[in-house]
Amino acid sequence: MHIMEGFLPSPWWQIWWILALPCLVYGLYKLKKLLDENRELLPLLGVAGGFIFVLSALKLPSVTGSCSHPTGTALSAITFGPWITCVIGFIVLLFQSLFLAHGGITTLGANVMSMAIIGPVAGYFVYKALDKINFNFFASIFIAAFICDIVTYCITSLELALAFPATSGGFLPSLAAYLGVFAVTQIPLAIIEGLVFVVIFKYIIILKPDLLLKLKVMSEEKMKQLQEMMTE
Amino acid sequence: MKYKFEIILVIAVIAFIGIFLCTDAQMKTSGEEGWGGSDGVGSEMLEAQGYEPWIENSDYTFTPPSGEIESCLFALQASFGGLLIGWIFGSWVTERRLKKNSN
Repeated sequence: MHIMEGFLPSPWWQIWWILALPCLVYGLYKLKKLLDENRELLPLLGVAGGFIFVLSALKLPSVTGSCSHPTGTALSAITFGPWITCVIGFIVLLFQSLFLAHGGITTLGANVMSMAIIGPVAGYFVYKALDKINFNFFASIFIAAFICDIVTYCITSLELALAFPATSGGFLPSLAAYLGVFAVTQIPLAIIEGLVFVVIFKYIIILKPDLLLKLKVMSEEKMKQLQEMMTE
Repeated sequence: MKYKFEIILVIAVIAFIGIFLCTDAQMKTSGEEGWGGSDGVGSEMLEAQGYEPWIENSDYTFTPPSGEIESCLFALQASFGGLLIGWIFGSWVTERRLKKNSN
């Protein structure tokens, strides 16, 4: 999902950096506040970060004949919210741009915007909305993780289409072309990622349900229902 | 069904591998080259339009000197994440087991 180094001309890379920076600062503030209040959330934060590290290193082949990788941001987005996810995503993307030549410092703003901010924001709000209408918990997790992943790639396409509108027709045909490359490749991966996170959430509910309650991922009643369902 | 989600996941992964094998066989018969990164494909589309990247990673930072070293770094990244996840889930499992035994 990276936009490679040098592939965003001015002023676009500056614009995405300027948009990403306040989110990052707010994320750092939220992260500090969270850890000051609740040290016991640190392991869950580690797991959330671990998934972004692992899944974004997995390059998988897909239907279009090219490879792409999942984003792994769903666990972090659903539990800690999009702002803290922004910080973790930034660290992973920085690592990849400095040591793996995937993405770069100038395009980091745009890549953080798509993978670590807008994708998780979309997934987070979709989860919250589904939780409010009391939708099936595991189905909501699947949908939210799917959204986190697919929106990331749609935003990457949008960023490229804005910077490089097609010579005939402008922005929209260009967007369609990039969506054809990025989003279509991503659909099967997003489905797998959604299912992986359903299983992960199942185990977190079995092992550490109190953390999810503390983070207000769901109400206590709903947690009780889920636990009863699983012990049957 | 205690392992409903796990079973669904395994079926999905098998389907995913099946799709991969089919696409791969098709591409082999048509002689197309494939399985590059999608970000590479996107960049190639731009270069085909005549765009030249104005800065490259090798201008200012370390770039993996070969594919071998790149895969080594990717493996390190994944194993670091995997260790962290395994360690924390492992300690949660142990914690739960100890709590159960003390009751």
